Amino acid sequence: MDAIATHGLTKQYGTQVALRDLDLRVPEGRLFGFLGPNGAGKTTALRLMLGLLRATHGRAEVLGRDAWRDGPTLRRDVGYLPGDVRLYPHLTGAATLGFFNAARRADAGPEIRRLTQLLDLDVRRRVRDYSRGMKQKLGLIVAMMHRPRLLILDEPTTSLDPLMREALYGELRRVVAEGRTVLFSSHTLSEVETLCDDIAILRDGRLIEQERVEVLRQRALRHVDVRLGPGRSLATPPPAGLEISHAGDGYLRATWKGPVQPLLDWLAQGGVHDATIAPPDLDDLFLAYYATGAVEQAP
Amino acid sequence: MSRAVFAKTARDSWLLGLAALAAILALEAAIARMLVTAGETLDRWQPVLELPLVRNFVHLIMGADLLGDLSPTALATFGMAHPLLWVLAWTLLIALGTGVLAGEVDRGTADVLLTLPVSRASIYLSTSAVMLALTVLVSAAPLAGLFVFNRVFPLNAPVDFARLAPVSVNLLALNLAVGGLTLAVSSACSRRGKAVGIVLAVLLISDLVNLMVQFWEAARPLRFLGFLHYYRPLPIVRSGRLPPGDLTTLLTLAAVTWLIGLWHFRRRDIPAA
Repeated sequence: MDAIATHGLTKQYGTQVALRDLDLRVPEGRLFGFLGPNGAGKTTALRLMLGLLRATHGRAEVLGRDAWRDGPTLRRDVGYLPGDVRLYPHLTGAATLGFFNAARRADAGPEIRRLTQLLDLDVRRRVRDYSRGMKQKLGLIVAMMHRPRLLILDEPTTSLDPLMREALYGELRRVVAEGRTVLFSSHTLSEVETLCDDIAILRDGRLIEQERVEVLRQRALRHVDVRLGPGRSLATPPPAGLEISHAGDGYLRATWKGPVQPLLDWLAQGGVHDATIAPPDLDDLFLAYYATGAVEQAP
Repeated sequence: MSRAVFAKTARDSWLLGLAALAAILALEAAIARMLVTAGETLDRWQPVLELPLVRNFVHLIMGADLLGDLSPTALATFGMAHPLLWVLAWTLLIALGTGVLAGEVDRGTADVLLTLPVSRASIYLSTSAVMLALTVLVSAAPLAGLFVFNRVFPLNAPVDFARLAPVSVNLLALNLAVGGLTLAVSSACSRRGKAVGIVLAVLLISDLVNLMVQFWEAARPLRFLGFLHYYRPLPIVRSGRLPPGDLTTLLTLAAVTWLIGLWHFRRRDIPAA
């Protein structure tokens, strides 16, 4: 079953289209990255999935239920962290968690204690005295304390220090290992690449890509640096997929797209003194998506 | 209704409610004390009350001409009609009604509140329940205050509180109408300041209409637009009966605005803060 399935989901404000015909499928039990530049429509899509916004056209199904019509029922199994988390400033962290626990009619005491410890949060202080990072941690605990089947996180690592980021990544992997689903919205490419199984990319309110990370990796470019031995040269012509940006003085710099074997075979024919083939660079691929919305398909 | 949201709203508003109640009781103490002085020096006040400006103003707030019946009960009615009473009660209702709906959206806390497994109708009902409880309290407080402080500062003749009691019902209906209007406006706004501004503007225009009617005969056809046209304490005290027409109008307005608020809040978009 899909944790999230949207069908022609569209949100329009007057003449401005914030999200256009989104057909997205988030399989259950996956860590799903939701990428896109600022203003791409990620937050609008998430708010539609949570029933905070009403679709102009189309619909969103979350955990098999209509996001707008069955909101209160389906939200029992959903945890949400907004991009800019705002909580009640006059409450202490403990009172905040107590309120959300009571409102959910959950018995989340042990999970709250575990997460509080994991994220190292002092819940005795008032929210107004919290730093931005502490508010983020409190928001994460609010989102995760009832062990939801679907966790929707909008830019969750903003304001977290590297140590806490790692703790969160570990926790999210644990959530997914339990068969639960995480939808992780971000514009930090590296964390999505290392963390997520699947990725969807949004640009200008449109879904421009949805794919497994592994498949995208195969499409990504590898940076290649080759140093030739004295008086040696490489066989010509170079294999298809090699884009040479510099060649001369016994040095070759290029990018390579696709499986590496043909490249290795070609290099083996020449007198290579040293060679570096970097791992596939998804940053380049993503940036290409961000810039143009269309990337040439890999062979 | 969500017990957690009700409890939180009640916790967040008890201090403001207590302050409004204390202020109303303090006002009633001052009025009770002033009435003693006024009762003793009524002869000196009579010419002042006959001045057209004063007469019209008293008519505006009391709903009838005070002259001709300066009995202790009629004088005590002033304690149910002082403009500061409305200011205090309406400030509380506006603060509460805009703080929870428009205020939550404005502060951005609606994002976490409305993603709980609680329906929007339930949140609206919980807020309304707290508002209703406070509306009853601030509507009953003037009569309770008059009753208590009349014992401390007695007038030269007994006040008939049985005739004043129905005025509290009319005051409750008036406050419910203001509360309903506040919830309707608040449920449609994403900025608390805007919601407060709209409600204040409506109330101000409504009171200005009532004022105009008192001083300008040509404005009389517009009097039905003013809230205070439906709150006339002195005729109630004199007749000892509730005015069914005024009550029906105020309660219908309260119910209709409340329902509009509920309908809109259930359907509206919640924009990111």
